Amino acid sequence: MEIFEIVTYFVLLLLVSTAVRVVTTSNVIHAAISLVFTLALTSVLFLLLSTEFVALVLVLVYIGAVIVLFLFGIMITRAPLGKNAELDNDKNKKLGAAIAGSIFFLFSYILVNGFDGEVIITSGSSTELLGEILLSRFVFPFELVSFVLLAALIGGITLARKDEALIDEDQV
Amino acid sequence: MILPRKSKYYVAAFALLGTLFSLAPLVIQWANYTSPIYAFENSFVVDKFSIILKGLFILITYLTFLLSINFIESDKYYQGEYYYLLLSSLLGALIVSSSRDLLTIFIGIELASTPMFLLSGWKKGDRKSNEGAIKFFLLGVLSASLILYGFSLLYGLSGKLVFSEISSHLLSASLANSPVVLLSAILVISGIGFKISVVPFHSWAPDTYEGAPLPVTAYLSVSSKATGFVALIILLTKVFAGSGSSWGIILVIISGLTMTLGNLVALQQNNPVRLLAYSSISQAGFILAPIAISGITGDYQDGIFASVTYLIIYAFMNLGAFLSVHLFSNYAGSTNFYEWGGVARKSPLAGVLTTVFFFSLAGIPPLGGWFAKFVVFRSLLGSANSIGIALGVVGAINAVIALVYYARISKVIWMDEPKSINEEKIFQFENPLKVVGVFTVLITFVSGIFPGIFSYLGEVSSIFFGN
Amino acid sequence: MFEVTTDWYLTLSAILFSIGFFGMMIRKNALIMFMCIELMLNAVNLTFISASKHFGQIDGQIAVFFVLVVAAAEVVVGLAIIVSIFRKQSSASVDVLNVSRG
Repeated sequence: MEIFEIVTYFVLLLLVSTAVRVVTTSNVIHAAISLVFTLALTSVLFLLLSTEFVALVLVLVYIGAVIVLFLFGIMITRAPLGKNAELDNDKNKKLGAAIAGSIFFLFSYILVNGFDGEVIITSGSSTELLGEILLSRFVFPFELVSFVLLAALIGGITLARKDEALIDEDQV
Repeated sequence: MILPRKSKYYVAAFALLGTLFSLAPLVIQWANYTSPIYAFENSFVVDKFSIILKGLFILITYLTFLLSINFIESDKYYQGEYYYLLLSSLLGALIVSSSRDLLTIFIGIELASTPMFLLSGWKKGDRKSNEGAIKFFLLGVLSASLILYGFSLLYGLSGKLVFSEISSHLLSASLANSPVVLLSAILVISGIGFKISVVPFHSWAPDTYEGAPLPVTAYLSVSSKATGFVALIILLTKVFAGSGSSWGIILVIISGLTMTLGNLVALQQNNPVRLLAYSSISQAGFILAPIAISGITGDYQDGIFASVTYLIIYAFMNLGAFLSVHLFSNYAGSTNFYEWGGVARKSPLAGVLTTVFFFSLAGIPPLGGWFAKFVVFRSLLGSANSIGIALGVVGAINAVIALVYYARISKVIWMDEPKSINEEKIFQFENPLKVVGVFTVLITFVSGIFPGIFSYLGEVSSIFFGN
Repeated sequence: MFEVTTDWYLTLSAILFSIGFFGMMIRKNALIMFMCIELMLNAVNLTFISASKHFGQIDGQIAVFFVLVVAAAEVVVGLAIIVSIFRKQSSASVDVLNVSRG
């Protein structure tokens, strides 16, 4: 199974480099596109781990909806396309790098020590079981999450729509 | 949106009635209570702790609706959506107080806070409101991701999602003090720290409070904060109970810093809403203190008792304080309270209410705030632990500092000479607001004079706290 | 050869989380800050999935499902707020981590 491992490590490396690009690029569109690649590679990783349902949901929800919304946001706010030096908060840069670096070393030290390095199970599909559990044991949070979506929908529309609507309503 | 503007009044009436009726099942549950009832494979529980806090959340929302009626109508905000979003947030808070499972509690926290991001930007044309909303939103989502990372580490360690299974797994594998659990506890504490606005994570609070519509601010500073505390209490005592000595120290430091910094900055404020924002930050330090100490001593029951009692009394007096700020800033048309000279003489009733609420926040007997502080200090000093006593001393010094700025407002509105006399302007004190004022002032007095009732609630909630 | 162990995935998630956090600290644009938070949520998903595979059980995948839904809802909220800001001041740049006034 050497090819499998090589592919996995390749994906891991690519994933990190695209993620770095998201935070360092000085172009909003590039950041969004890099985020697409990061998420797509994550989804590939999930496929390699044979969690195909989650991988597909990730592609559909994130790349299909969330990133499109981000791009809409960039277009609507007419964010300057192309390079823009104003995106960065320069005085925080060194501090940020130091904090993020120490967080990384702390986390990975703790995590690598905390979990014994077992070989991960990469076989076995589970979509059917997932559906069953989701609608039996987890049906309560499943219902609740619909309220989160509804609240976001209603509030989002109200907040983003133009205020002329209010005046029209008065005349009715 | 469907109803014409005039009948929008029915929306408010419907929301008010619905909220009131939702108290009925709680009363029935309380009357028929025998033992905690578990549902969904132990991921949801009905115990007395949850019943009491649900009652608190419902009452707070009811009072917020009363505060909102005139406010929302006068400024032509969207009404139906406003009530819907507040009710969603209430639902989230209710879920949090009953949840015993990582997913349910996470979705409860999100359901409680997502509508608040939107409501804090409800004054659409107002720049401060927008800035406050985006700050609140970004830090709120950041806090959600911190909480989630903590949760994912817990799941990675135990392979379980239900609290009782996680904690028994941590105990049996003697992992309670392993670095991974501590890391996860720190992530969860800092994530919830944003929601309850304790010191390193408080930077959004004053700006958001200032920008949001006033009833929303009142709700944010009371109910959202209470939701965060309930989530924190549940997580710390049901999941991280075994590693109390480690998170206890962290919380003691946070609590001491929160009290001190909140107070010192509040001293310099001249905007009453920002003053209340910083004062509620410092009050959060007081609510946190008993939990922190209980982590070190291991006596969780006492910590929960003191914190819940403080939380209940704080909720009503803080709502009252926002009511009085609303009344006076409406009348004086100024957001600098040094210009409120003598406004209390215009409406002595409102003046008395204001004085009562601010003195109660300062902890002057015989008002409720005094009893709340007394319970906290008793818990700190009674711990017979040098850290607890040190925190108690810090708290006592802060209580004295706080007196300065709470008393300053009362002095200005009663004693200062009016700067601009405007005899024609009528002091508006609408009936729904009167109901809020009378109700909160009643609770403030009763909790100070007959503290037994409220300490009973706190005690019951700490004793009947299901697994 | 080098076998893929759980550690690798957890380290990757720590890397993603700290990159996202770094981005949160250095960026000023609200949209990009929000993208950084998405990176952090992605790290969370990765931890849940790898732990779910580590234990050979399914709860972690359900958790990822909920994280995805909540994240989608948050994007809607965030976008609505950003659009309503843009109506007023035509820029989505905020200094979130700095307290502006006292």
